[in-house]
Amino acid sequence: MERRYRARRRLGSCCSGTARGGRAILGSGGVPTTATTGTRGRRARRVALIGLDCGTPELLFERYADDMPTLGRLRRQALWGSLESTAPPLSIPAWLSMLTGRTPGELGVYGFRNRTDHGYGGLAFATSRWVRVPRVWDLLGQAGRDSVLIGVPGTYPPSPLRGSMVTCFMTPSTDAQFTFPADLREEVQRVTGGYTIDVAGFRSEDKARVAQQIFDMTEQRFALARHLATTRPWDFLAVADMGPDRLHHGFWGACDPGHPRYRPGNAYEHVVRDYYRALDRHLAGLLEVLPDDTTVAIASDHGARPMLGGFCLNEWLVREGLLVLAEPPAGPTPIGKAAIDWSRTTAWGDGGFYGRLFLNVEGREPLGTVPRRDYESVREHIASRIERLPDPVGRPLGNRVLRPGELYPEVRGAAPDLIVYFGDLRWRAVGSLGLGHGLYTSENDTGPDDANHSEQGVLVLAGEGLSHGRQEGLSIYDVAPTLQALLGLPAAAGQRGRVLG
Amino acid sequence: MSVVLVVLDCVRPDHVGCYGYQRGTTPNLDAFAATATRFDNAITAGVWTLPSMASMMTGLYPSQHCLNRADRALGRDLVTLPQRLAEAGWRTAGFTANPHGGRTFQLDRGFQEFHEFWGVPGADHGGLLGRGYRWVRPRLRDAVKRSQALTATAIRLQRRRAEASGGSGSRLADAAAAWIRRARGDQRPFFALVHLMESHVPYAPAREHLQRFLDEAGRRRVAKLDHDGMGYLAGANPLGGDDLALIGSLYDATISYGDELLGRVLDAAGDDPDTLVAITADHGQQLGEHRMMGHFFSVYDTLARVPLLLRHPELPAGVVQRPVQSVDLHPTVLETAGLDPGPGWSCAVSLRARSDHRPVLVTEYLEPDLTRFARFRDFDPAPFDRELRALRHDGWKYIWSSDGREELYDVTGDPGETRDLAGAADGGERLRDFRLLHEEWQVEMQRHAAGDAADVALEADVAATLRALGYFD
Repeated sequence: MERRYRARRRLGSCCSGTARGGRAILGSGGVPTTATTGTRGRRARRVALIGLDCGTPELLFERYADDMPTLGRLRRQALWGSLESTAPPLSIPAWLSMLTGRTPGELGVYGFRNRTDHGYGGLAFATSRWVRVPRVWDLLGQAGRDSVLIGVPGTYPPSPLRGSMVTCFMTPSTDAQFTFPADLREEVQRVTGGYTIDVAGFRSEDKARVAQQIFDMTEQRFALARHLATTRPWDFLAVADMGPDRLHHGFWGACDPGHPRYRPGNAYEHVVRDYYRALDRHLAGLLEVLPDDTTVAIASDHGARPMLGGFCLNEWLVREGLLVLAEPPAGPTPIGKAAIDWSRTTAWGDGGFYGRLFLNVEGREPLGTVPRRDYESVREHIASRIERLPDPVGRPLGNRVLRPGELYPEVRGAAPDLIVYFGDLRWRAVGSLGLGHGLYTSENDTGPDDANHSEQGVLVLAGEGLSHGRQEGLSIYDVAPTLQALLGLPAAAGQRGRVLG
Repeated sequence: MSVVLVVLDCVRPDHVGCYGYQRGTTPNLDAFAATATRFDNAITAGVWTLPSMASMMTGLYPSQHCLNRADRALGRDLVTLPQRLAEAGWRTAGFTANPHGGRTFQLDRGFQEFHEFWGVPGADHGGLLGRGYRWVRPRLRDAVKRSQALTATAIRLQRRRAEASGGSGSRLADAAAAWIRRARGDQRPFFALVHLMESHVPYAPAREHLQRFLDEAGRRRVAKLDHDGMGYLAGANPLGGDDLALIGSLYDATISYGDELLGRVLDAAGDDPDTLVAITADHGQQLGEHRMMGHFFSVYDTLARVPLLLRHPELPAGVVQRPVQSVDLHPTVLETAGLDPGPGWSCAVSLRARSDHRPVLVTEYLEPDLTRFARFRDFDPAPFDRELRALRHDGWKYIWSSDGREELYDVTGDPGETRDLAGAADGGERLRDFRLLHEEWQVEMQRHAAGDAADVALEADVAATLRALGYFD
């Protein structure tokens, strides 16, 4: 840290000779590290946000509540409840929304991967560069106060901040720059004995390896949080752990008698319970080192539910004559690699936890076939067909079809035309073609996976001046304005949500 | 006081006569250089048109204005150079052949007149023929794009068509020249931006220029080559040394053609000492160096170095070795116009500054668009999936890469950047200094990030033009 500030002076002295001068920038110190009063007359405090990716209310508040005494104690002094996620409830849009107070539509981020334009070039990963509105730590930094971030989804590639950052699970490897400042890397590697960004290949049948890595990763994440919380100045500490998410995807079927993959007496029957017991100990270890005046928030981006199977969206579109292939796929083929006859295609889809359907619109897509005047009627026709789809035994699948224009106040970027929750998210959307087993599959095209996402995550908020007890109607959009109010920062223009108290 | 700013798309200084190139590519530019200040070490902020032109117009770096993807337009709050001049009572006009420097991305902001010239036959044609062409072309393209041989043929046809039509450069140069002549007769000061793109792919110089740089055998051979740059990067189009040399000669012919058009603009600008004339490029072009082609996925000097010449009433003619950046044109013009560079901040420094002291020169390539590799089914574009930032200081150049592959070059002793010294023992301390400098630079940029770029809606003719220029693969 000391070195950084020394270097800043050096750059400053260079700039001060320029036409515009660097004075105004470099003389912006003098802001007190802790503001005296926040909005609503509260005293501005430190806030620690502990993010549990995929933290699920049914597990944390009910099934494993007795296995998590630390969380239970915290909850008794806290405002807590289910936290409604974004639509769609996926880590990347959800965390971005949680920490900006904007909807996926306003952010132009509808999933991990997004269309970058209306061509057929496929999807690109949404990175931190896609975020063009300030996040909580940007606002705090502008007020001259420090943040420490560890693994918060949507922070790769690292961007400068006032404080320190270790980037998220989207980081390709620890060879990439995964910290800010860059020289924090050595310290992170030393403290953790080699930092684990994510559980590599968590959709695997090698359950022993996956389980071990999940336990190790969580332990490491909390150890690093303890280290940085005690060696860096901060007003905002945010650590997010992917452990619960990887655990639910890998092991839900091993632990839940209601899951189609459940086998009584299997080797991993208690792995989820054991994980939450371990997590609770890590939580205790972190809470213990936080200063007494810290407000603690435990939050998740979305929850999980058992996945019953996959619905082959593109296979269905082919059968309906809406998607026309130039040649049949030779074997399992991701939609991006399939030979599509665009000039005869009406719609195509992309898979994942939810289904995204794109219409091939004249004048918008390069080979658009749907005239603009027919857009609504074609879209509604497809939507009603999807809503009526049956499950493999002929009962209604219970699909929900959402329209971005109705979900978000603004729709930026190349959004899907329809967002589909198959079986209300009990089924996954399978995008690949040529899987060869009809419209329904129990296998996932990207590897074994037991869980899908649900729209309810968790929030536990404990600190001086906050009410206690369960609250209904908590929304992920409330988190950013609430954190800001606790930190003594006003809501930013364009932010949704309300300040919880 | 008036200002004429000419941007020569894709023109590398090492292919320009007054920078030492011996093939006679630029007689008009060379004659101009004799009366102007030539900056020998001029660096662009962005390596393709959109970020680079946005930087020139705003004085901000790509990290700040965020126009790093073709779906973003200039943020509402950003004030452009012509906007400032227009507010001060200047007449302003822009002439461009490159959509990435145009209205779609709101880079026409502040121009009272803005004229776009699309060089793609069919793109700006109305009527049945144009409609038919627009209908056939994308269908054809989609059918051929999976096959490298058909892609090469399609590009070949495109080149031939562009050659036959003469492109739009001639019309653009004449329109700009006529406007400048009229404006000179007026009492009001004026600002004209003339963006010529003869040296952008598809290379289609007028025949007499082609004949000067390639003999008949060479012309026949170059016509048969596969000109697909993305294919070259993806290993689907293996061009050999001779092929690259032929493409280099073709590129020279395009510079020569652009120079002819430049001559018309310079004639119109006249030699009035009260008119500031600036000539530069938005970026260079890779012609097989470092096994790279086109102007993406790298920040080597083949892209980062640009010609920059300034005929300025207060600057002596001659050569300036001091490193400068094309974003520096922004404060230079404002200062010459008697306007305050204003609120906001950038690292841009007036070109009139005498001091050699400049903390760092920066070239950025952010948000790589890997979807351009989508048509290569078996190719893994992961090595191209990295952001790059080059910092230049004290004769050395450091390249930061988001995937951790750092590079370090002694660009004075090794201008071709052939010996990476990042791993060398003597690179150690310099590397550490550069890392610190990089961090500090990022912090300063972040603090002045201009933020919220707007979304883009592509008109069909713009989309067709961009496709013909090799985008949206």
